[in-house]
Amino acid sequence: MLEESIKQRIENLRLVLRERTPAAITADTDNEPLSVKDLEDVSEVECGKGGCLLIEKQVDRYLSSEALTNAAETLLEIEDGGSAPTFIFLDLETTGFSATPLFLAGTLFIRKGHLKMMQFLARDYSEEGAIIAMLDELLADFDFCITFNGKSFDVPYVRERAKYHKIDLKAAPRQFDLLHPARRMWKHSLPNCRLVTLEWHILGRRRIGDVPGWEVPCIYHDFVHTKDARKLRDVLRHNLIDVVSMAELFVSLAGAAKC
Amino acid sequence: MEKTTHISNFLENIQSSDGYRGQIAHINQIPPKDAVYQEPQTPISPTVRSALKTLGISSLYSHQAKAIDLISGGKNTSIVTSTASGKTICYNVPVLESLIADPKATALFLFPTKALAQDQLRVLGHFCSADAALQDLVRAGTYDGDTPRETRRKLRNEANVILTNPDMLHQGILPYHSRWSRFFSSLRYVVVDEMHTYRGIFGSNVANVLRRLRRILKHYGATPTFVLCSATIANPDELAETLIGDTCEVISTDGSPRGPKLFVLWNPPFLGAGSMDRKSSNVEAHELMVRLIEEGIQTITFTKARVVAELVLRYVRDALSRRNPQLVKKVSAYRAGYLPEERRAIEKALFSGELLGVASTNALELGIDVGSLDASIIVGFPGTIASTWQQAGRAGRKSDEALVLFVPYNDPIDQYLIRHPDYFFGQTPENAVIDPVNPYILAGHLSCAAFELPLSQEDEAIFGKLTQPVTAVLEDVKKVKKIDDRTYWATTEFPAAGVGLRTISDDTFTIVDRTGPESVIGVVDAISAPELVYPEGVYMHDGATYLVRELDLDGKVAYVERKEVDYYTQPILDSSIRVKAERKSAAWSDLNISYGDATVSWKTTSFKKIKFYSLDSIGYGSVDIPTQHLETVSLWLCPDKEVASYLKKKGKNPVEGLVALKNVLINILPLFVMCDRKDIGGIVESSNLGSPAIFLYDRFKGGLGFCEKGYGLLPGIIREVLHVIEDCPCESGCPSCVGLPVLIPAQHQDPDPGHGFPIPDKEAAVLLVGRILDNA
Repeated sequence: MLEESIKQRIENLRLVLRERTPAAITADTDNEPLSVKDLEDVSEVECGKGGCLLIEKQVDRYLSSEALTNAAETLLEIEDGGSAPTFIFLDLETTGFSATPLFLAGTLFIRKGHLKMMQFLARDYSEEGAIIAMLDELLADFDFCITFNGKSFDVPYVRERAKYHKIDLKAAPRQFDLLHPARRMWKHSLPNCRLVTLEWHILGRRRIGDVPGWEVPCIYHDFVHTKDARKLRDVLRHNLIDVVSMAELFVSLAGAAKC
Repeated sequence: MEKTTHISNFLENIQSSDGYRGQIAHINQIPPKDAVYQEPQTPISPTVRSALKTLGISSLYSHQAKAIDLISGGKNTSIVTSTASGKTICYNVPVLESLIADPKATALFLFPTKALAQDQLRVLGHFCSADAALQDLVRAGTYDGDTPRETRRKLRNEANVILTNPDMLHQGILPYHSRWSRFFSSLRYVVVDEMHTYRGIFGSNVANVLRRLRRILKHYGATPTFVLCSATIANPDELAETLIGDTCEVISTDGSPRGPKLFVLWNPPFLGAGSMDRKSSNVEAHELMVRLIEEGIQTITFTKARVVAELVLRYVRDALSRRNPQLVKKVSAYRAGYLPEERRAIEKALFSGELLGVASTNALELGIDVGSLDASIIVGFPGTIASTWQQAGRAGRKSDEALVLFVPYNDPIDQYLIRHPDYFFGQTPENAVIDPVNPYILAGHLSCAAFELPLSQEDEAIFGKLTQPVTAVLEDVKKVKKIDDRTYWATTEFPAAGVGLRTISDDTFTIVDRTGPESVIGVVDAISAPELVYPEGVYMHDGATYLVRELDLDGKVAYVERKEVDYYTQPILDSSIRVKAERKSAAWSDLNISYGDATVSWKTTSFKKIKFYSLDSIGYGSVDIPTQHLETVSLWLCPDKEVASYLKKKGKNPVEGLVALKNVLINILPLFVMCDRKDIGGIVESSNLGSPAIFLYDRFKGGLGFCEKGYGLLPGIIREVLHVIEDCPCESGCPSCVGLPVLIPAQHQDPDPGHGFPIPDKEAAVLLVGRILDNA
């Protein structure tokens, strides 16, 4: 048991910290909170490192798998004597700037002639290890991992977080970072080469009602505290648009390369 | 032994010279000591043996042998021996042996400053220079704020010895520990040098950083041995064990030899018969320094402020240019604010003997290796006994005679020390107090720890019994989230950015000379800038005078122009405290005791122009720069009106009694609330409450709970105050009881023109405290 005087000091600490902590953004009270279980296409998955959620769906309506396969033939090198290379798009969402847990790994790839999206989602910080282990297993099936700025961000990030969890990564797909060819292609004609800029000018569409990237970590922390997944749904959509845009950009780059 | 005659002759000559006016108040002879050699029981490899030989070391001192045995045996060890006793050998030998034995092994060295880390990197490089294999084996580097990005990556991936500082470990290494998994997994030794600097707030923070380090190391399966080195303090064993949170062996028997040392108290003479004014202490000190340098006696002069180091340098160069122009280049100043390369050059020149004299601030008190000097002049009491002995320790070679001259200012504390040499030489060095379980400090570091790895039950063994309750508070304010049995960091904040380890920030201003093409001549920390580089003031650098033309507070630049003037300037500060909100209040005896939020403010309002040498005041200038504020927590004591009339009736000045009580409180409150004396500020004033009251405050933004804790303990503390005053054998007040803690608001004033603060009336204090206790 703590002495009274210590208890008093702890209470003082509580008061001081409360005063210093800005009030939380008030929750939307008009609608019912959403449970993570009630998200679309969601299932629970397990591996040796624990469990997490998997959101899995076919996304053929955005893009055809033929267009992607053709683009890959132009842009990705075929190993000597090998068949057409297999590839997967990857985009991560993290809980902060650096050295913080990642909570969502969004992927897009072709399976049995269909475009498939898989998102591994942690219900809380403790499920990061499971995401990394399952992502590693998935990546092992592909020759190429295609990212946007992944050489500097996504790939080292996963590697670092794997070290944190003492996971030995098995998968070693080759890296194809869209940012670099996109820069070479468009840096003179566009104000910058951010993904949203490329979407607007190259893919000809704008995101409506999308959550800005900087808000993503805050939304996730809020979700862990409140368990309300309404805003998290927007993050899942944000991540989906990211990987789909990456795939479309990949096709555009191949088209431009052919010209 | 040519030097021996030098020093003895010097003192004889000076006493028989015409100008001598009986300045020597006391001479204390510190006898010489022979070396005690010992062979360590741990075998030393031929490689390390030959490396030692190149350093000229054929046999080791007893403390080195003992340290090597303990450290190699995996025992946490702290080494508390004199300056220049070869402490570095104590850890470099076991570290190198471990690298030889295991190519994967690594070691982490912590120093309180970047400069020390760089210095020790050179020492290590020198150690290895003898042997090509050793050079290949040791991949060492400093990792700090100045390290370029690419070098950082290389060091993380390849280095086996990293030299850094606690701030970098806290903000730049531990949060990114997965990048360090190789280095941490095979970490064998952690060296904490200059342990005595880790006291008070800084020490409590560093203790927590080391706990976080141990926790991360456990994650990577490493359990290294800790080696701590310290200058003399009263409680090295306690400090070492509290810092590392583990048991620790202490080695304090020094085997290194020491030549005889003369410690002379040298009081500047009265200006004339019947005058109470004494000759300027800075002028007196420079004359001594000039004479020593002319005799070829390498001398360091320690001063209490940067401006004084510059003044002494200027005076010495002036005198030498008249008498011995070839020696002008052989003196220099050394202080904070000089550019790193400038400092390196001075250190090197001092070490090689190229420089015969240096006028320094306490910047050279730390263990930068400049070799040993022949004489040390201490101008003004540095404030602690520990510092005094550190400064005195810079003089003294292995066998030659050495000289220490203490030149007091004409202020009550310094003059007290001169009158009471027994006190001066008899006082034990101060205790270094730290409190790693202070809830405020703990809250910061538990946040950082949770960011680094989720907290679990096991962490209580590392952070102590407040771990659970403080973590619960963090969860309450939604900083962390408990999931199953682990607690995770749960916001987007980077917690280490919100936790500063030191009381002062490392924010710096650049000083740009725009006489010709603009060039950076120095830097100054943000807190000091308004006191050192205010517009129209004189900034001194390398003894030369510059006029400050502009202070750009936003751009953090001070523009100066070289201009030869015959004066320097002294800032005049206005400081105040304003109570913002009372949190708690209670009446106790004759006192109203409260604590709450307060703002301490200070600003440079004007400056005084003071003529070199004569100290004549030749004018004032006004300064218009914004006030600086410290938002903190204060504890205030306001006596009832009757107390004042009671003291007046007894013929005593009530305010003097309060000042005395405030001084003792600043001395002993730290023992109750576990901080350093410098962590608490104090002021007696009457504008807040309408009558005189004592205000004590935490010298840390937002407060650290010192005054808050003091509030609850005050009756006990006041009782202790009476014991301290009554038990003190002095007659009418001394630095140990009612005298010392005039923690001058201005850190950068030359104490020479002022006369310090009087030692308050001891009897008034006894009457005041006695009455309070009687009525309790």
